[in-house]
Amino acid sequence: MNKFDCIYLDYNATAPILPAVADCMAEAMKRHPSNASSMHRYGQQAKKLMTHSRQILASHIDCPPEYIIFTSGGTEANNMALKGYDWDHVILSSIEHDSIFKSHLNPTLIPVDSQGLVNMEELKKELEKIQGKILVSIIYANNETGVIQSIQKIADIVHHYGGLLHIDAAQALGKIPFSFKETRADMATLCFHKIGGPIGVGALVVKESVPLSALLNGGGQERNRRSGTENIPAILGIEETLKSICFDEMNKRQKWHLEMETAMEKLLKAHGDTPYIFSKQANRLPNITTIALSGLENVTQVINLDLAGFAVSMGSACSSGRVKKISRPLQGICQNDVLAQSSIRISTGWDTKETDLRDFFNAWKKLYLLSKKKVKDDTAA
Amino acid sequence: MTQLHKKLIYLDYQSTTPCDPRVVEAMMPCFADIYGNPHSRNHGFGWDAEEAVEKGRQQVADIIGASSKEIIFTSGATEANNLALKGTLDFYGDKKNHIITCTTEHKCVLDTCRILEQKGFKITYLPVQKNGLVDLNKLEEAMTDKTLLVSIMAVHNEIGVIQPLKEIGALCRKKGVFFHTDAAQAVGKIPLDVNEMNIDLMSISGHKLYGPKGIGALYVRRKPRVRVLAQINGGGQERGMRSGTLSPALCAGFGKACEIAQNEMAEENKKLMDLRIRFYDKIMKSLPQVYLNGDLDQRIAGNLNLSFAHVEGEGLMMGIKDLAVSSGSACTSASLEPSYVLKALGVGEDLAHTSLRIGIGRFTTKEEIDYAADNIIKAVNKLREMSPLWEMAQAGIDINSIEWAGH
Amino acid sequence: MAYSNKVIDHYENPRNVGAFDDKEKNVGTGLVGAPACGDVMRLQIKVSEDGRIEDAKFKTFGCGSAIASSSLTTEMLKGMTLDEAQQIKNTSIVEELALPPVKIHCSVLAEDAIKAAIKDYKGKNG
Repeated sequence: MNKFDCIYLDYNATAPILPAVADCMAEAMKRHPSNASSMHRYGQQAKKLMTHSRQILASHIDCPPEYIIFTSGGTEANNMALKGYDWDHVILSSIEHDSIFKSHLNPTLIPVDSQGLVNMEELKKELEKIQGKILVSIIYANNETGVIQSIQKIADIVHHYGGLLHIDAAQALGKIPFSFKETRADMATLCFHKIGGPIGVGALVVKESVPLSALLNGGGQERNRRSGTENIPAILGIEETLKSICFDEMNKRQKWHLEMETAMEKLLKAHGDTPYIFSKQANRLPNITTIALSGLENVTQVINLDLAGFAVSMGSACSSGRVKKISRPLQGICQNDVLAQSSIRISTGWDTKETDLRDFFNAWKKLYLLSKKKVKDDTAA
Repeated sequence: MTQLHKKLIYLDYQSTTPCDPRVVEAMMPCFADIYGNPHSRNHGFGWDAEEAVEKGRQQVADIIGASSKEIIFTSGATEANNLALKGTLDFYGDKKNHIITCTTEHKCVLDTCRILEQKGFKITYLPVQKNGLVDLNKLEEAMTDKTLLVSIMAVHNEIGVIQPLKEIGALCRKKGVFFHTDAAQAVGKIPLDVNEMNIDLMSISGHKLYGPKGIGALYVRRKPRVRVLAQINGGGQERGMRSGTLSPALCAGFGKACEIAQNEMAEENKKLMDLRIRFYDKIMKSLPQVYLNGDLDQRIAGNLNLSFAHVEGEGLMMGIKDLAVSSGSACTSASLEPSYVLKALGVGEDLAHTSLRIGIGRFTTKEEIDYAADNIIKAVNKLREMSPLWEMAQAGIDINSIEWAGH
Repeated sequence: MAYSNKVIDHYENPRNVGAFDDKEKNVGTGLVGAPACGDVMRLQIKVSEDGRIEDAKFKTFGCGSAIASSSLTTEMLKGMTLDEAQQIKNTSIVEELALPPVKIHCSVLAEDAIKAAIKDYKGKNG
């Protein structure tokens, strides 16, 4: 519990910062001024610390340290992958994050199946049609349903047709084992604040064979690929964040989610409704449940649950206040506007307790039963 | 910090500033009890995060006399400069395709201009006068009916000179040209008012004014409106001009830093000026042939840039290893080229190699200044004893008359 | 810039700083580099009658590595014959001082200075 008297279940938007990470960053900010480009000892110390953090991150995700370009976040990294080269063709899945989707004027979209998995045959068909410098960008683990793509298979297809593959791994890092090498991707976007790391820093992992140029020009930091004074406290915060990653904890949370989902399904069926849990049959992130309550708009659900003391979300957070009508990824998966519009996302993380999801289920149940009653009353009247 | 200061005296405040402890304090609540993505507007956590962000935005706006709606948060001044130049050209470029900047601008403006040139836009690089200041007549002459924007930095990062912002702003307004200023080194150091100075776009950096790294802002005027096309797309945050999740902690810290600077600027500048005069007098009294780069009067209190004739800058830095100073801009000092800025002032290459930038700031003490001056004097004397050029100069040989081989 | 201990030692305690009268017949002077490039090295050798370098002195305008390279060179030269001195390669200076790649030009300058000093001496005594 926290000062809001509210349980936070919106980790896929952002996670509360881990106390150890906050301490480490505050310590770094208090320590001494550090610009890694300075020649004096303070500058050299800063550079050393940054090099160390870069190496830790590199070994964590299994890539050479030179591949890592620190950015201001996942959005910038995604923009860089798409805009850093004059690609002849850009191919995306239909469930990409806005920072991918809006970074290119006319991408080709590949549909996904009912579980949210990229349609490989369609991908092949598209790739067969085109020539030149091709970039395919696929969200490794989707932020809204958690669906995890068979990324190696996609990589092999893309490479077979001479294209390059970028993956948006912002939601994957720390939640599922992630090896850049094993994905066989050419670029990957990383983000740390979804697992308790700092906001305001991210990374793009780029193989040296990718002809990417800088998005931000200037002092030539990050080996000329991303200018701007390096955010040392945040980079040290990344190192601290990685220490906290624990898949046993993830497995535990996955169990809680599955238990809750079973209870939800049981309840719906008992009242004659068909449960719809997004990407239920697919390989999914362990910390997420996205479920529809047909007939009840997501805004209504979220506001009611907020009043009941639970912070959940309706689709992607990055719509900056504008209440978006329909989530593109959810629509892309279920192909049903009403369903997409009546779905909420419950996502958990390091500070979630088992009782939190049980308590949430009770609140959700109350809301559902209330809506059922209202429907009944309305029909009766 | 104080512990390390005993070992190494920090005199590099133009490279980066230490975070003010009060700033860190202001950030801590955001770490401890505010969580939530400020863009998640449908639950209480998001609201509270947004409150922290908006308070910070107001504080940033206040220090430059702007409205908070005119502040776009970015990852720093580099991004703000990139956004100002590329963003306006992307919007207006098919009608007006010309930008005027000057040869001494920060690398991130010059490098961005170079990229824009490759895309076919026209860039004029104005020379500066010997004192580092822009010649207003030359600026006016350079303007055409195709000129979209003038980009001149408010305070220079290497030589600390303050450009005549009000005059440049008035000229731009008269000619219907946007005025962008990179004010990374100016905000919190000199009073700024975007309306009084007719500034249309202004880049600000958090970590140059005792705030956190990883955050900055671009001021974008609303009346008359200046349009900027986003360079980073996505969730459409920052009124569509800059996507990406904002860190409430960074916004709060940045805001606090602005608030402190605004409240304490006058007093702080007095203190810095005393320290600077003390340092400068000591050096000039003890060492011959030391030259100041950039105007002495039109200059922020916390900067000196000195050339010590016949002593190479990097060698000198090694001799004063208790002092964290810079020999040229931090962003370029890894290369062996002498500063392009000093070259642009007409400082000879031999003298450009002998320069040090001394940045004095909030936490500098009188003792540190005295220690630093004594050390520099000692090191310069020692190295001059070792310098063949100094020996020749003492013997009355004109170094320029020698035919140097170079290498 | 991270300097090796040897560079720091030579920089802080430079050996053989100074000058010989370059009008003396047994003195050879090499002046290399340029102020505009940030390095000027003046290396002088005093040659005994049997053709050995009996003393060497330097003055250098430049970074720590340039100063250390010249200081080390004067130590190496003492006692050498001119032929031996002529054989000195910059790589041995690089190794001895553990110079990083960006500072290799300092050692090249030192080698140039040796050659120039020998040439000057031979010119006077040729």
